[in-house]
Amino acid sequence: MPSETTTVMENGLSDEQELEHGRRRALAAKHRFMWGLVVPSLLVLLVFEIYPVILAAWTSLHKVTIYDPGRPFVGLQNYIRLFTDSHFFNTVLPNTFIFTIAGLAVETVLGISVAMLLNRRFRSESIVTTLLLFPMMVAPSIAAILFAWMFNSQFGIVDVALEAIGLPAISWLSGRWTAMFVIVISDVWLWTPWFTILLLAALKVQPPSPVEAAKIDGANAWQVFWHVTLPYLSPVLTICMLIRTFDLFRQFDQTWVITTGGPARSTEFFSIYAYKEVFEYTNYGSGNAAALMGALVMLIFGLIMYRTFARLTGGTKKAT
Amino acid sequence: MAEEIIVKGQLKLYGWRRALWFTGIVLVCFFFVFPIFWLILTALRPESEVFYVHRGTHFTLDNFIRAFDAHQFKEAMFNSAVLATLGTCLSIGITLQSGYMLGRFRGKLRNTWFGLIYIMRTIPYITWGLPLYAMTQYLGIYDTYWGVLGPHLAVHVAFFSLVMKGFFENITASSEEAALVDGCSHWGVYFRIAVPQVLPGIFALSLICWLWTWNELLFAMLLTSADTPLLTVTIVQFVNEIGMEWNLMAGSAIIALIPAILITVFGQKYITKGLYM
Repeated sequence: MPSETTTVMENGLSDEQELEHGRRRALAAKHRFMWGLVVPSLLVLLVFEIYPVILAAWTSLHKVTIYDPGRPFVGLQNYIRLFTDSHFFNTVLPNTFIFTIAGLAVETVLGISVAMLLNRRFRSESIVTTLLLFPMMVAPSIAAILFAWMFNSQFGIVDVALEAIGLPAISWLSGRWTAMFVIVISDVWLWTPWFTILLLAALKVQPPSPVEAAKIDGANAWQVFWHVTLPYLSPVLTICMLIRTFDLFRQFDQTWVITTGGPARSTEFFSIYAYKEVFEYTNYGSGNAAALMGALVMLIFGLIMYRTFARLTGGTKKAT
Repeated sequence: MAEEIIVKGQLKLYGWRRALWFTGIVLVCFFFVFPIFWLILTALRPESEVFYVHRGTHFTLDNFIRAFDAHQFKEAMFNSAVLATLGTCLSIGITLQSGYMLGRFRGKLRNTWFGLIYIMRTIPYITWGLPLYAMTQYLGIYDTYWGVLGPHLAVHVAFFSLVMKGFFENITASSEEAALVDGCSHWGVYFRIAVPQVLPGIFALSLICWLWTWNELLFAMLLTSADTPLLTVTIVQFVNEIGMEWNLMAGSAIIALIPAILITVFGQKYITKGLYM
């Protein structure tokens, strides 16, 4: 923008109109540049994310079959089918919410605890951090294999250990809740370190004076944590929890590998359900309807949390 | 408080508190390391002893060789590496721009873009993955690099734009403003001044981006098949096809983990930067 302003000055035309003209051109150039920056990303999103979602919406309103190329419009029939499917309503939806809430709760609490534990200087600090970093780099599908193997009901090390200390072995993957537990554990293993590392980074730069002041006032360690440290961590914690919620809710990989939704479809989440509806039962309409319902839940949740997210990450900036 | 001495601004622990803290650290390390340790141990056991991993005494490297020679395994590794590399090169370029826009500008256009990215971030993969199956077939790019690359780029845009934004916000804009005043174009400022300053961040994010693509399962399952096998799908198929051969599973999983191991060990300093998403 200033380049045009200089030209105006060099020409000796300090006329107000000319200046205004130059400013507008500069503004236009800035806008062109802003568009140029986002156009590639925007195109990618339009073609590979937004258009498919529209396509999913279309499919969910039509009767799509392999044998009938007509694909007649059926209105909300697929949705009615979905919501009258007791399996979807009584198992799939609760599973998705239970998994999201359980995973989020455990990861948050454990993440904070480990971060507090590591928040001091010690000799093997960097080794411990590396060890913590590693699970995040592991493919969820491979983590799932790990946990499926460790919790294998015949040869898994967990049952071996249980028997060694005199407890009965559990066939983990043949019960709904024990299988859910294994899926949650695998997610906790993968993602707790993420909380820990981000929280730890914040703790390392925490100003010491409020903590010291609280201690001088006679606060015990728990009170200091609850009234000083936790409020200090809350912005980064909120963002972590929000992003984890999106990702826990859509989680597919681990469930697919560990149980494939079994036993007897009792650990299906909405993403597994949608996948199976389409690829195993060829119900394209209701599969897409289920996937869209999941997206809708997250969209509503996301919109409710948008102000918080935008405030904490600098989302809204007024033009200057 | 006799047992509390502050050293360099930190509470030094003594006695039972120290023991408790130490136990905590050991438990944490155990929880996060043991599964990997167990995988390695399983991979080193011969087939006859894989069900008694904790008791056997025989070790072998045979599983790695067999996994490597398994049907389509090498192709799958190659394809995954190509896909991850292509995906990283392309998406770092476009997300960097998008991040610069978010980090440096103000106003309606920028806020709308921020909101759009946020919304795209909330949409579950499955919702746009299912229609992509039909869409890529219609376009004739099903089971090719391009078919599975596109959705990955979309994921990267939604995930990494905000990280990139953070990188640009952490550097001062004053030299960019000065260059603009001196008559440098916007693009010139972007490429010559802004981008070079965030190279460490770009490097960090490239590593994560590469690994993320390498690790992904759902899009690989939905959008590829026999012509372009990808590593995660191939390994997961092992579970279904060969069922009980856990030693092979473990061997192939370890091979698939090699990039993750290398990146964690050698890129540790950088990657933490790329995790702020």
